[in-house]
Amino acid sequence: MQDPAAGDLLALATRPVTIDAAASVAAAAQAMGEKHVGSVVVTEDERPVGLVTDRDLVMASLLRPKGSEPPPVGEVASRPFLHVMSGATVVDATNMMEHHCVRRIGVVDASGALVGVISADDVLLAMGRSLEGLAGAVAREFAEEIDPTSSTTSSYGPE
Amino acid sequence: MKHVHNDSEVVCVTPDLSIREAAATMKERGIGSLVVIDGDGNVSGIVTDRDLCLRAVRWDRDPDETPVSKAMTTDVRTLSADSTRDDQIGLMRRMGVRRVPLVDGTGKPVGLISVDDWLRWTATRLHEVASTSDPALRHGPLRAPGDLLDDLERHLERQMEAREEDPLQTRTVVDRDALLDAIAKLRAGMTGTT
Repeated sequence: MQDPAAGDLLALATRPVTIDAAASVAAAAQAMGEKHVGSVVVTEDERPVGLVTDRDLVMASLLRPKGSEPPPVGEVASRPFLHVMSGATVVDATNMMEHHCVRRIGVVDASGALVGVISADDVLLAMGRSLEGLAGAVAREFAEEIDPTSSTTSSYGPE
Repeated sequence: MKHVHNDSEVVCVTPDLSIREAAATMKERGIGSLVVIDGDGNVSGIVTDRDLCLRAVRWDRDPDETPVSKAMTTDVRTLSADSTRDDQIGLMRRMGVRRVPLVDGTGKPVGLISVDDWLRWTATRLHEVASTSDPALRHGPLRAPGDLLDDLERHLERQMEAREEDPLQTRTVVDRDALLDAIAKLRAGMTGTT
């Protein structure tokens, strides 16, 4: 079966939030709070080099040696920057998440520019919409079988 | 105390625990939330890794001087341990929360249910439901017509034997010869076309 989700990846993805590797973990947490995201892409010379999650920031900042300063976000980020191409399918993205045991990966266009971040939650929301549609079709078919006048258009076409 | 579906332990902590210890506990146990209980053992809050990020890391709070009570969410809705799936998912949906502590009759936490728990459960059920419409799984792999005719022949033989052994002769009478003839013709037809 053809993957019906091919090409839809960018529609599901979130606009990336980036931060320079030299920034503080507090600044990264600030960005996550303001942009309502769970991860930010860490860049060096404006090229994505890794990704850092809210949990990564917590562990790096709160578990640092006593008396020391929190590390810069570049030291906390997961590297290399895991990503798929913008023409990839949702299945490509979830396979990569599964393979690397991560919930978020980047989406990059043909020129290597960062165009999005796709998360397991983004995929879940899309699957939820599909399931809702399928459940709605089944429910409506039952309803029309019980009461054929319940809808103006029959799912079986004109009789 | 058990996490309802994945059996990972739910950890209860007191409000005076430092955020360093809270983070260490989350890391050690591989969990994303802690239930905060008061002196009577009742739920007084819940703190997640995201709460620690946005309420402590963001403001550069001292890991050792900041108690978990400063980062926790206090307006926590709980449900009875015997609440239903609909109750639990309904509350998560209405409140926009990923986790709900489950409490006993006296309000003491006995578990924690999360969106991820129900998601895994749902995925498994969906897989089962989808499998029932897969012909290969329902009937076994599709078999060659010749093999099916062999089966039918054996079935007829067994039926005739059973009938001969049955003193009451209550079994349905089949015209064995006519059926065997039909099978032979089908085989001939199959051979003719290949």
